Amino acid sequence: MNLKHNLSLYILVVISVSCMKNIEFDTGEFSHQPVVNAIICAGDTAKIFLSYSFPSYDENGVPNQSEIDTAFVQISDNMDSIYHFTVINAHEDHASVYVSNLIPSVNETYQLRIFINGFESLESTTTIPNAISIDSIGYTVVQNDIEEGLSLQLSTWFKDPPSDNFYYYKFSISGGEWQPYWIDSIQDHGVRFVYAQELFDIYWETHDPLIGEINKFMKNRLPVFTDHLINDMSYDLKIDIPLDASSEIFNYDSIMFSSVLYSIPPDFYYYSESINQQYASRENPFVEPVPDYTNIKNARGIFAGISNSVGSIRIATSKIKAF
Amino acid sequence: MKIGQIDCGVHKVTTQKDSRGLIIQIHKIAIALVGLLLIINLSLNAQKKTVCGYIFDAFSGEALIGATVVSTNQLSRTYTNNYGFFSLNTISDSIVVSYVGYQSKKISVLKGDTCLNLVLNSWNEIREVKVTGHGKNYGISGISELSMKTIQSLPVIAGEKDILKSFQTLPGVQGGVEGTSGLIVRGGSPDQNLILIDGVTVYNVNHLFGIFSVFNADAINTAVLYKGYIPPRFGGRVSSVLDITMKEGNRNSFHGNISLGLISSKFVLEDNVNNHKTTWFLSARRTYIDLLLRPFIKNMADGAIIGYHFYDVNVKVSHLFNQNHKLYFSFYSGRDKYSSEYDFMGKNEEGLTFSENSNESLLWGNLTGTLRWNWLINPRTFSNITLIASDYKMLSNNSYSQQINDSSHIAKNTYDIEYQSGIRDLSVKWDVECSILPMVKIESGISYSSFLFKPDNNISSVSNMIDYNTIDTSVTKLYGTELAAYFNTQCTLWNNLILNAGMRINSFFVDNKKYFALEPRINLNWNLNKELKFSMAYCQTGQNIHLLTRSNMGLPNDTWLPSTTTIKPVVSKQYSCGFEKSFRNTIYVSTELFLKKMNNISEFKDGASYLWGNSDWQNRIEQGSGRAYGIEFMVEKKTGVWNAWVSYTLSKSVRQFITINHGQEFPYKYNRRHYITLVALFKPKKNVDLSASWVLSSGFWATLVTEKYYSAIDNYGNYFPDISNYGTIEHIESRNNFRTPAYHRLDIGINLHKQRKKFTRTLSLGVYNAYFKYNPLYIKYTNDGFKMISIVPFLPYINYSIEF
Repeated sequence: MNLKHNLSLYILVVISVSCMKNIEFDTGEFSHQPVVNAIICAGDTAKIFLSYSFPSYDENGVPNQSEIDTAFVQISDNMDSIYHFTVINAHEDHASVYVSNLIPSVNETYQLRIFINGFESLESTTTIPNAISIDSIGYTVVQNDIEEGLSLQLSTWFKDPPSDNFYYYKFSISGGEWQPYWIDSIQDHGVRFVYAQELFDIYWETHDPLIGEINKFMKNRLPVFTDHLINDMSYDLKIDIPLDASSEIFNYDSIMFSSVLYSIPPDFYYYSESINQQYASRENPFVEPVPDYTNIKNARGIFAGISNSVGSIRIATSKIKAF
Repeated sequence: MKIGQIDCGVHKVTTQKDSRGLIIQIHKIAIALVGLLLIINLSLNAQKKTVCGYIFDAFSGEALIGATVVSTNQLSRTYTNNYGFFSLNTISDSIVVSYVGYQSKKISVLKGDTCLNLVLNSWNEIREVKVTGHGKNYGISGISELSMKTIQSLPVIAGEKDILKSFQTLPGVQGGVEGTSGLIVRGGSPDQNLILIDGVTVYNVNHLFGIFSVFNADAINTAVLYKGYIPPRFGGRVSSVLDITMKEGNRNSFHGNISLGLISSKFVLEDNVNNHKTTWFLSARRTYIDLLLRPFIKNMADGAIIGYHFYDVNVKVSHLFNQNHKLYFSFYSGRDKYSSEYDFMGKNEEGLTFSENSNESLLWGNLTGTLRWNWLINPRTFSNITLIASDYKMLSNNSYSQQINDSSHIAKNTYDIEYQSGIRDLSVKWDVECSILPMVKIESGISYSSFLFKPDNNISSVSNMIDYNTIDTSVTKLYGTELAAYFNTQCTLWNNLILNAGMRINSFFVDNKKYFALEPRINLNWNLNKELKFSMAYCQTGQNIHLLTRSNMGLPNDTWLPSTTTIKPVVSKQYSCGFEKSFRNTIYVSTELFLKKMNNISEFKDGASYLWGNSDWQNRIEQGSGRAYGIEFMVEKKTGVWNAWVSYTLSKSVRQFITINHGQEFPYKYNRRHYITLVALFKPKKNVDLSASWVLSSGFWATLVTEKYYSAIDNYGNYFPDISNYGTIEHIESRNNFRTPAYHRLDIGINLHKQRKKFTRTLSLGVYNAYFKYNPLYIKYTNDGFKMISIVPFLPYINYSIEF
């Protein structure tokens, strides 16, 4: 008994001196780095957003933006035309917005150069791919997998060219006379990747192999995909809306289904995928960390030229009921 | 596919149609090799005088493995194998038998073919320590060995003598996480080491999450680490082979050892029966920290009973039928068990009697068994047939029940979830050694292994108040078959130049896919004179099974899986060269350069979860390449009352994968540029051993997020340039972007022996991490920045043992 008592005491002493201890880990002095968000769309006025990074443990630690408000920003094209950007809005929260009279064109290569006081010059290049046109938009009513019910199946047809292509896809469903606000304004306000749906309570799903993952991670994924499954093929992106008596779409005489198919350069795809993986794994401590992608020398962020094509269809709900 | 079309070292996938032919061809090759040996042997049978036999320790009768046998004219030389057997063709009339730590013996062999049983006396009777054993080289390079006496003398964590941790003090071998037993050999990962006990693969070598290894040092006879030239008889891992041989049992008399430690106790018993023809050995070890701490835990955990213990048992029986036939049976069983139990009984808000019971348990361990038959076909030819079974299992159980007693009825809710994973391996091997000429020894063999992988099996059952029962079962079983043949030739080209050349032919069949590989290996040892040796080696190895792990801490949920259609076998090619110089047979200086290239190594993809989930494990794995190179130095003092060695490894180990880290190369987690160990053993008196070991190494690597920024793309995938609903992106320049501070630690220990009339008692005292160095175990993120977590700044130990 005495031995056991002594051993127990000894173990407690050992444990007390051997317990966990936190020690400072010096990751070096933090220095803010410039961040560039420059996604320019063919046919739209180009805008560039400059901001700073901040320490991971201090989200309020964004520094004074005076340097990036006075940055020298320019884009040159293949014809050696140079477009100088001027700041139009020292953003109240995070970014400063720069604009110029550059309206990008497809198949054009653009070089970005930014000089910020105190930093090495930031440089990047992008080529705007051809827009892949949406050939048609359609719909049908099909049997779904859930309790043998019916679904409204919305289709977006396009033909993928033989070359390697990367895409960004968004769609919108609006009820009644409501129009997706971005349809008319897309020429005026640059690139807008809209909310997935205007009918916020509507339930939809997809089993499409290209955008199936989009459905799975819709709330934290950029809907990008490659053409490795559909190279040089016509393809139909399908969205399914299960139909039942309580379906919100029957509150309207008609609904509008709109699709936007963006052609994006590989850099934008890799950038989006790295963000996708980060967002998908952020709350899970048991994952491998994901390095972020950038194509800008001496900075974080992305410089990408994109083009798009739009298609939409208005569907009378009485026709859906007729099925 | 024709054999002649197969490129060396490149794994190729064959079609289903070819598989039967391939198996037949490998069988033919293997049988031809073995047959060739026998024919050559018979044809040469009468030409030379052959001296064969076994060499034993005089006191215990244990086989001495790796003893050197050389003819006095220095023209013939050989080494004893894992059974203490040697066979030497010679024209000399005498041979000299030597073994590190033992007195050499000269034997006259005037007659023709002779079979001998030789015993050597240990140097222990005099005061010199003579315990280190790095001098044996078996005629090959890149080999490390520690005698059990050295291992027993070294200070270790909690006083548990540990073979794996002892090897971490040798050049080219590094440890993983603080205090754990993982071996990082020449830049390889821990799963790339083949760890054998009596020829059986041990799949999980850790107790208590790696703090202790599963090997009870009292049960071990020898442990040899092959890290450069890996003899072709070994296969299945690409970095190293740790070949551990259990004790056979004392051939002369009954002996035992009882040891009481801080957290565990163990005993060893050994004896012989049947007029010394049968020996047996039994050892067992169990922790009792759960029993000691249970009262405290129960108080702290509000009535819950939480327990953890591990045990292991080693059994070995050998029987000598006659000089030509010997049978061995070895058995090992080790288990770790964590459990928690919680019971509650009372009344609920409605005043009804209410009871709750919760049980959780996690159990894991290895079970191995070997049956070996030594058959001395003739004095030149030694054969061994082995049957092997190895099983590693992890079982997790979580059950809960709730019962409410109403006046009219009893309502009961229960659920039970069971999770299993494991690997089972059944093998048969036939190895033949043949000394066909004084200068030539050939080894050959074939092996067949059948694997069953159970990576992710779930059984859950639920029943509720309305007697609704559901049982879900998810069982995954994968089968694999490995067929291998090998040969190795050891030639003494002239007096001092020893050539080892061989090939391992390996095929793996899984899930309608077949992988085939040729693994050539060559080693040249040149003994320039008695004090200076040069060596160079090329070694190609393959690995057909993979361990899914991230921590390298030896967690029980680490899972072994086979190569598949998409996951290809690992291939490694290693080049090494070095020299060894001795000064008056007292100081030894050695150095070795190595370059290792690995292909098809696996790593979790960026963003992939390393816990089992719904997605196929193959989709979460990326295969790529690895490269490790470096130089190892070692200086040893082997004789006198002071024994010491200093080892230093300067190395680099990197990995590269197409989709990980944007395709850029990144450092391996345990890429420690500098690794220095200093070990000193001092025996001032016959009954006192003092020891100290000091480690200094570069820190390990970790991936940390120190910087964030806003993207104009929000968390919903929308781009909003004009509003501030931005998403936050973590900036990670690359995987493993930070290195922890340098690691260093001093351990000291003392063994006090006292000889009594019928027994010897030993009191061992020591301290792990004597000067309170807070070394990082892992790094965590806090609101104040990053913190390193350290858990073992100072850990004293005490151990008391009686040997009789």
